[in-house]
Amino acid sequence: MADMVINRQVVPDVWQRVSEVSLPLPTGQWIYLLSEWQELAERPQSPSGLWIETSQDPEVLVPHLEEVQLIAVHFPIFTDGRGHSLGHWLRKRAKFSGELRAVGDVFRDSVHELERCGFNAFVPRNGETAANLLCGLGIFSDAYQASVDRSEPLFRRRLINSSGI
Amino acid sequence: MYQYDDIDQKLVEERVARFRDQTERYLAGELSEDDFRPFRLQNGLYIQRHAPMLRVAIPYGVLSSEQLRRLAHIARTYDRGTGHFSTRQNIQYNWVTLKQVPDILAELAEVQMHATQTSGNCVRNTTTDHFAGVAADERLDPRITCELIRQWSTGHPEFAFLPRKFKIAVNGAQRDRAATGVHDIGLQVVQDEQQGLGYQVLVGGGLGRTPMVAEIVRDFLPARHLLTYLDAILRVYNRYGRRDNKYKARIKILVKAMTIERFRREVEAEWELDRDGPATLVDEEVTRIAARFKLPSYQLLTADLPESVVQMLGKDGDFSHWYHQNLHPHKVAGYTSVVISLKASGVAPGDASAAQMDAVAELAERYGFGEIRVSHEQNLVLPDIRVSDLPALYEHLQGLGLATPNIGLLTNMIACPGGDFCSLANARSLPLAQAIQERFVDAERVRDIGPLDLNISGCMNSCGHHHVGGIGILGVDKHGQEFYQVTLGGSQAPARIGKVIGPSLKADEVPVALEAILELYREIRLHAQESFVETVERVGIEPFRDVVYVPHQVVVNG
Ligand code: SF4
Repeated sequence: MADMVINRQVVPDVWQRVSEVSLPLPTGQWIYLLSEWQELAERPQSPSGLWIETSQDPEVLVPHLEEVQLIAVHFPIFTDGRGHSLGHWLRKRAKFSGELRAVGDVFRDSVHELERCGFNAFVPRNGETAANLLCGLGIFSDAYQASVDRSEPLFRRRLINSSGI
Repeated sequence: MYQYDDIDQKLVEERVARFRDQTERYLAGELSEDDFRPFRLQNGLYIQRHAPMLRVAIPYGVLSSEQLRRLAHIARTYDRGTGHFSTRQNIQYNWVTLKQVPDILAELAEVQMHATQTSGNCVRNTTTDHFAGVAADERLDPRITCELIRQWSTGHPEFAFLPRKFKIAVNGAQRDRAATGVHDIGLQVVQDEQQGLGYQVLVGGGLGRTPMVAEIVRDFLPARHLLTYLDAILRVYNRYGRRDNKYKARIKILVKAMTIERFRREVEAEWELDRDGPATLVDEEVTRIAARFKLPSYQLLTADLPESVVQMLGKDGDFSHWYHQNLHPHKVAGYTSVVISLKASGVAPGDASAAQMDAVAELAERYGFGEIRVSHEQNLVLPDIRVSDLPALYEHLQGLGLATPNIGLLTNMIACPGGDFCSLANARSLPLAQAIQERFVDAERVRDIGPLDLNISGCMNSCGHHHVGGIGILGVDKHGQEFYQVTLGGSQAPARIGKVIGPSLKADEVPVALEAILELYREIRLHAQESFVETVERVGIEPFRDVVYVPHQVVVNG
């Protein structure tokens, strides 16, 4: 099992993609494409995840969000900012509270913004290490905007500080 | 200027640290060119024709004298002693080395400046009226709005990788000096009788390959909803804007494809979800920001023209031209704003030497309140000058070669760096600007031609804003040769795109053509007050086409 980062810890990745093995699935934790998930005769007993591309409309996931523990967003290239809005949407609009992982073109310099958009898990791309991903996190002590990681913008915190509370 | 608090300062320093680390890894071969590129762009660094070019933000065009001195110091230490003021209230250094850029950014951070998001596919430096806060025709000081947007957009994690660049302009005056109609988002400050202060929100304007005038997405947005509404617009754009073709990736194309009605519905639906949420502005924050702008303590003066000025006007013709051309009415009696033209003949438009920058900083301290503005017309402004100080100030400026009395006139032309510096250029713009300056050395004639914006871009990226020039010139490439396309009748406010007059011309034909156009204008204008653009509007471009393309004057080359 390769290493990845979850909640700023380096851990082994215990998940596998259904598309990468031949059926029937051995026991384990599997990530399904939406089409694979919809074809299942019954929901698996073990924890399951769904895979989505940045180009997909996240609303297709809505009927299934309660059924899965993980959503993997695939970045074909790290500058595909749709994935950032997708993270925001899943957390803030759909209130998804399971593991939200970024896969694909994920490396040290791309994780900071993603974490602020609600991603808590990062699978390093080929050639990148999980330990190196950690160097890209926590590089700013504060931020101006409200986002998934901070629901209030800086100016609200400034007000509290200046009023001495 | 807005003065940073500890958090602002820390954030800008942390940003420098991040970029220093990235640059070091890039130079050590640990970060690939493709991975590094978006980050270097978001920190202002382009790879240009000769050397990397660094674009430093001058947030909404406001500088302190200390900051201008630092810009001079950077020009001297890291460049060849010159800075180029751009059409977007930025300054560009054309000869920096990549290795030194983190040091330059650190030097900037020391004086509360940065190059954050001055290029790349993100929200860029917000621009506004260069007379913000001092103009007599102002409804509301737009600088506070601009600073709110600066903070909101700086490092916004969701909008770090948009389909394309994104430019916001704010106007708070009666006359729109911020060109809000040709920006991705334009904000017009409005006062509503019932709902108080707010904005008219325009969206989808822009120049470039497909010039478009912005449409109104919301007629009135109460001021407190500014940030949540911007979030909503950007989110719709980030999600649906095209990413498959960079020429179709700007928000204007999305608005056009969706229609403004559908775009509006999407934005409003998105906004509804965050409306009145935590990012809704509160009065205390607006007051806090306003208080961090050090406002000048003006003296109580009369509006009467001081005797010394009256005398100078009577006896010194040059002073008198400068007085009538380069000043702008101030909201406080006895004060005026002085525009310093960076368009002297023989100098690339917008270029200033380190010595000139230092000298202007000095003058801003001696005669003003230590503040300088940068205009999108590539000039500098001393915003708060006592009218009684004008004769003395004029003398200093003259000594520095900075008293060219041409603001608003043909020779105050805007030109992008073009083919001499920019690797995207089809044609050079600076030698052409120079040739036009030379053709129109007769200041009397230039004054007689009257108000006219002449804008030159070296390629379709339109950094010289040629579409909105009364006369616009665009560099085009024909079989590897430089040609220029001429447009007439464009205007910034109200935003209007100029019309192409005919086949493009060779470099040496352009000044001749301009002369023919402007001589015709002088002949056919109804009266001295009818401006060039008004005449073009009245008669159309055909009569002008006819004088340019008469066979014996210009040989048409395609
Ligand atoms: S208009 Fe073209 S040539 Fe001029 S600066 Fe912009 S990109 Fe370069």
